[in-house]
Amino acid sequence: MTKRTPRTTLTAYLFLAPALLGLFFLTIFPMLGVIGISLTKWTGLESPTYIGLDNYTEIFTSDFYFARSVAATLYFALGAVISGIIYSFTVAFMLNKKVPARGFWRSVFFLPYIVPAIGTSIVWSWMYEANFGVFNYVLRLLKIAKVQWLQDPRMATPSIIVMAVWGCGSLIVIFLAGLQNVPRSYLEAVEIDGGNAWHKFRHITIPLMTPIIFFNFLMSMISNLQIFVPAYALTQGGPSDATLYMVYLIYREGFMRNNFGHASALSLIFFVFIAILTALFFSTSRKWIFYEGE
Amino acid sequence: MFSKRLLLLVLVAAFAVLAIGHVAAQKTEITYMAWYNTTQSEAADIQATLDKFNSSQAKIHVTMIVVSRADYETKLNTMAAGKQLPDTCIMAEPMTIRYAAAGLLANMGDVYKPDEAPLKSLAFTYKGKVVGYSCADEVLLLYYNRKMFDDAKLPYPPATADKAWTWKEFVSVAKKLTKDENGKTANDAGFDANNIVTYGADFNRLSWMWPVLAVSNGGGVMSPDGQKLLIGTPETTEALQAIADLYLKDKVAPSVGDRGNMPSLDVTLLTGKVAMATSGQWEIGVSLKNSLKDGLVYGVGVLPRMKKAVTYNTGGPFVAFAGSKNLAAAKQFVKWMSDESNGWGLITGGIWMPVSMKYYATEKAMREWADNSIHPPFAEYKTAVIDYAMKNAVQVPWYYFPSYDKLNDLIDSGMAAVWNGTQTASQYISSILPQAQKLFDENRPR
Repeated sequence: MTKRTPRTTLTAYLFLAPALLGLFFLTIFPMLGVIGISLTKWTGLESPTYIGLDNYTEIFTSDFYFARSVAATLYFALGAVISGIIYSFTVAFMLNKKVPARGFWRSVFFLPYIVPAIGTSIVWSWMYEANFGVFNYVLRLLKIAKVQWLQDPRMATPSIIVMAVWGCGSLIVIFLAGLQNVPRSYLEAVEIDGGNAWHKFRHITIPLMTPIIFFNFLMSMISNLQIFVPAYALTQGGPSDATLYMVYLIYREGFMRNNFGHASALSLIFFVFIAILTALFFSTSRKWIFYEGE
Repeated sequence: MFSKRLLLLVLVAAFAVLAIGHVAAQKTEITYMAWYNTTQSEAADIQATLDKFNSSQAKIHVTMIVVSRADYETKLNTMAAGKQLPDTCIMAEPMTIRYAAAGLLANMGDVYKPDEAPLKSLAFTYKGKVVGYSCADEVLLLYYNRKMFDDAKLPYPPATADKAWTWKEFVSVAKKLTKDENGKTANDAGFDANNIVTYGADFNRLSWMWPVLAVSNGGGVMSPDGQKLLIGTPETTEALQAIADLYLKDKVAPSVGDRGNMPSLDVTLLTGKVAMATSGQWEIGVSLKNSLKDGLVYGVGVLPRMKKAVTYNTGGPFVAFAGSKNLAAAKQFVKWMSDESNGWGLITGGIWMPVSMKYYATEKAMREWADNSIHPPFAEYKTAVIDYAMKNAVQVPWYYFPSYDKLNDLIDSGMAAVWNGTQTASQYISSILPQAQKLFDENRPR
């Protein structure tokens, strides 16, 4: 082991410097700035005025949009996470079998993940177009009345959930990696004991996959709670606030309506909410996650 | 030795001449921020206008900052927060008075001589101070497909304000023009409202446009002095319900969802999807002219009225920022930009209407810009658009009320319920009224 000297310490810090500088200047300082701004009334047009916790009080007592934004965000996130996990696990399970052109199919399902979100949003908006879009074309062939996919407040979020699920390529890859690590010997043991495919899936695959499911669930929940692009590019928070997701509300309040103080308070509340949710998931994880060797 | 001194002297003199020449040639630099709507090629058109300005000026040079329309507010607000505002810009209407209330906009009332100032109706005013004039005059109108009226043997919509249809007359005509896939009109027995192929009327339901009917009914969003909220008045809810009923009860208008999926106005009129539709004057140049070659024969009339004949006027303003280090040059540029000769193509092309009184003063002056193949027949355009704009137009409240966009957000936040009939206009407006009052009180100019 190399002995620690001032020179080696300096070298270590020099190597760490890019990461540390990024952490301080791009994460910690802006977060401190947001905390400071959240305690002010600041339009961005005039100097900020210190108002203590008034922004927070206002959000919880009289903000017209907060509750509906939270509801819209949770509706989307839960829908996208649950459907996304089921979809990606199913696809990964199938791709783990010996199907023809397996590499090709794996690429096909991963592809949506690497396409820029703004591009996919535009393509989906064409497919959702009520008169000429492909979905309503199919409905027309089936003699079913057309659906206002993005114009109907009841349909807007489900439509965006479908888009999010389609882009679950990264979850599929992680599930696939997990499935490939399920030891064959365990599955063979079930077969020797007379178990069928369901027994293998229920008693071997699922328990061994729980850490992966947990990881994907958590990451997917965090990213879906922060949904922004479809609300920005397709619906602008509408119709009738049906897609006024929290990050879009923060953006609109701050950058379009000049309520930077209010927007900062919203973003901190949202940050704390996600942190609490994450902690809750972690606290319950030991009850349902199976770690080999424990 | 002497030659060295001479050489030094010559060099010093040369430097002095160059330096003086440089100072003399140095121009005052200003920046102008503008948006492009769909393609960046629009930026080239704006740059061409700026090039014209730059070549005409010995002492001022303007540089363009161009931003997509979708990101414009974000960009400007970010620049303001960072104290990096340009010297001048074209501004989105709803944010103008918010900037004025923060003291960021320069007084533009002193830029023009009394006889050259743009129309008073185009002045964005905060506490008596004019902070900008619209780049163009725009009013809301009623467009229609002439052929459909001819086929139905119906008289065209009125082209003069004093003969404006009452709402009842408007709905009555719309019913006669609405047809289902079996050719039955909305008045016929067995009319199939679920399979309409031609809608008789589309009254624009954009949150800033529909209140024009409420103004006609004696209501509106707020009083013209910006001191009283009118959104909760029976006159406003009656007008809102009347517009919603075009789809819900009268069965003559598309649902708000169907409307959102319709193509541009020229195509909806050309294809007979809609027989009459309300929108802005700009449609003549932006949309309607595109289908003339395909045989579109359209007309223009005044909006239907509930009590008095009235329309809204609007137009984004050119502004100069009070904090500009070269404010005089910035104001000079704004004045130059608002001169019609620098946007003549947009005016004769039907997108803009002039801002100066001189272009409305005589028929000859009006014909200069409005009597051409793009505009509707001059006689009709004169009464339905020009006279209507001069005599019957009132300002959208964003000309004098800060944060009108926040009120629009609120009004829009649940309007689908009204348009789809799950709530009446009265129920919905009552539900948002306390918040609207709060927002109004917070922003009302005092």
